[in-house]
Amino acid sequence: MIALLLPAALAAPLDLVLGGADAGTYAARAQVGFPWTGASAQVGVGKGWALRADYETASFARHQPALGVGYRWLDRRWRITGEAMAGWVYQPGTLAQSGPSGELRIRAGRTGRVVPIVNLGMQGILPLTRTVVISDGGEERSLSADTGLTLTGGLGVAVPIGARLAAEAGLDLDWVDVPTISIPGAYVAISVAGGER
Amino acid sequence: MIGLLFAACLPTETFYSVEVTATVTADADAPVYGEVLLADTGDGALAVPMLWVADFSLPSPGTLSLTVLVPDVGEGLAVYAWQDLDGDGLLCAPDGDTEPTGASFSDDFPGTAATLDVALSAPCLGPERYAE
Repeated sequence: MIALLLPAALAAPLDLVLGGADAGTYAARAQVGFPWTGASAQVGVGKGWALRADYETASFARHQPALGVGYRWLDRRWRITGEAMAGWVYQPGTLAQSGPSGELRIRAGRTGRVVPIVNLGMQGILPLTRTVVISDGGEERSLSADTGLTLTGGLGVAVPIGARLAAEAGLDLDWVDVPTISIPGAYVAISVAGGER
Repeated sequence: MIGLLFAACLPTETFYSVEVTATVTADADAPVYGEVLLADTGDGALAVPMLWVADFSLPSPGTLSLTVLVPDVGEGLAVYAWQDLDGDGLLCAPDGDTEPTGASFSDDFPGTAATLDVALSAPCLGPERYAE
């Protein structure tokens, strides 16, 4: 909503949909879906680079905040961008998992009135576990790390609405905790943008 | 910064190092095989009446003594055993082969020691039957 108050006719409502940003622009995006719901924000820092913050949750049982950078490789009829994110995965409960994560994504879309989007990514997780062993000799504590891999992906369609808004719908095709089977999800999202190029 | 926020939420797994002492009695002199089990673990649809912890064997009925790491997720330890009378490595068989089994439960868990007496008398029962 802050973006709507900003004075700029050249805002980029597709920047968060397609990735990357021009210096002086910023954008926010909110997504609602099953299982993935989340929000993102980014600001362009120049030469195709953007700083980005994401928060995603799967059915409010798995939480994934992350910070990172985005870069725009190609910006013509097709836009191709990449992102590198670092964050944390927090999943309480019976299948508890908590630890740092890193993710690389590539995103492509064709600009126009209707914008098809495809994204692919790979997220590595280092789940940490505290272990306590109680014996007659007392307590022994240790910290152990495992590894986890999630392959992210999605297909969507976005429609720009004026100079500052974009609506979007699509499929989430994340393969969470490979090789455990994941089911596909669906989402709707809206993006708002502001700033001057 | 994000990591610091969530580091306090790391899952913790607690184990007890338990000295299990079990006296196994039976009429025959033949090898005994068995399992140390954790009773009543999990909740709801994920409840498990008898969770495997460790295997053991004895050359004949007698006293078992071993140390096992037991996750702190149950409400009692059990020792289940059966005797291999015909030496085929299998508990009973469709051909009429009948072998004695037994189980004993201890309420000493959570704790670091459990002492049990297991009498092998009931024929051909698996550990799940003792949990009923």
